[in-house]
Amino acid sequence: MPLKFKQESKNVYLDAASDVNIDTSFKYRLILSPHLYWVKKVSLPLKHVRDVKKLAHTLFEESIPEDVHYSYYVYKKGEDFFVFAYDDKKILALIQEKKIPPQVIASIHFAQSELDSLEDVYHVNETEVLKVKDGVVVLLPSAWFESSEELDVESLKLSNKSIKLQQFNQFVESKVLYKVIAVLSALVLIFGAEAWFYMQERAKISDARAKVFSEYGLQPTMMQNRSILQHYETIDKQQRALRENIVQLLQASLRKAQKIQSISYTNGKLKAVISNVNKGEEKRILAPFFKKKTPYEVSFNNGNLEVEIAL
Amino acid sequence: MNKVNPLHIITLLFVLVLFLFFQVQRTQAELTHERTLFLQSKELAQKTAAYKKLYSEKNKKSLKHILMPSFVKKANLQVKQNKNIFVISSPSISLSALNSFLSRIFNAAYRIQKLEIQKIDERTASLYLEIVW
Repeated sequence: MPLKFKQESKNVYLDAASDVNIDTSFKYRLILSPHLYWVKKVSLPLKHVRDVKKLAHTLFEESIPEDVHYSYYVYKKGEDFFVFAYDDKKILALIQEKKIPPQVIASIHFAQSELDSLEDVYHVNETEVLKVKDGVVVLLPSAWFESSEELDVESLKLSNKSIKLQQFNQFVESKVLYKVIAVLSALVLIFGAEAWFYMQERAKISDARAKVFSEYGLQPTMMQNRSILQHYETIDKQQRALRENIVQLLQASLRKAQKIQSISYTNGKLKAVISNVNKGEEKRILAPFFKKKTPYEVSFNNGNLEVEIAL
Repeated sequence: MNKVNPLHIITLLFVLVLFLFFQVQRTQAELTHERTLFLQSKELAQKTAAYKKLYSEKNKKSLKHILMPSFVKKANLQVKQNKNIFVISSPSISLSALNSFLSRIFNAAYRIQKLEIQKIDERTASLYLEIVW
């Protein structure tokens, strides 16, 4: 079976009083009955359709109900502008009522834009006929005419003047929604750029850290490196303390008869023996250690003061 | 009829904004953490390098300079050297020579493992000193 790349499209006239037969294997171009929109043919001193569209709501101010939210569409034909007002919800409701699945709808057109070249009167339902009057497609009671022809929309080649229905409930105006989208998009860009910047910075710092590791020959883990540093810090602390405490001992206030007999340092302990010291004199001799809050132990042995300092 | 509902776009963008917001928070925290790690690593590396340099084997040269043969002979010192240890001893060294020698040792960054000074009389003392690397 060959692949079907493009579904065939058919034209359908959509009117509340007409029946519609839908085959979901086809796509449908809907032609809206004049019942489903308001149209005004106006001549304005404006050049562009977009300028007229801005004024569209004012053109219908007193002729359409105020409590309904209308969408507007404008096209130019010759010197005239055709301005449309339509209720999306009303059209969507009819589409739903006629059981037309949204996915089979190829496009939606106004009868005005597609049928304005009709010359005769055309029967569209039991009570109404379609006629073009002063360039505007209108519905008139069929009773006014003795005869009418059947409207054949199948053979029509439709223009590109189509509308897109707003399928959502309009709690807020489209402009507000677009502003929200713009703000959110800006936030996406800002946050995206910020996240990208942080990731780049992080990658740079990570590279710099790796460089520090290789440059200083560090171990792979910080735990190992901290352990090595701690080892050196302990050595340095002990060596400084050893030198400071020996200097303190040598500068101790001794009487003439009092002499330092020995100084020894091993396994982190500094010991000194001072001769001819009476009990009670040790406080004076070791005052600098007491002042610096250096912990020490003293003992007396045959008139000798033995001092032990743990470094 | 196939027009995309702006509310769907808003929902999608909102979810994206939320995701990116938390992504920014996460990457910012990671960046701060990485920066802290970098500074810690650098400080640790510099400190370790400084200590390694301070207690490095280069000090052996300066120790050998202190222990010049003339000084060793004059101070009556005995020097034994293994791979990573220097043992300097003297059964009897004058206090002035001892003072001069210890001043030089204490003013340099030698790692003293063991030290014993025993006064013999008013002018002499014995010395035992171990320096390691």
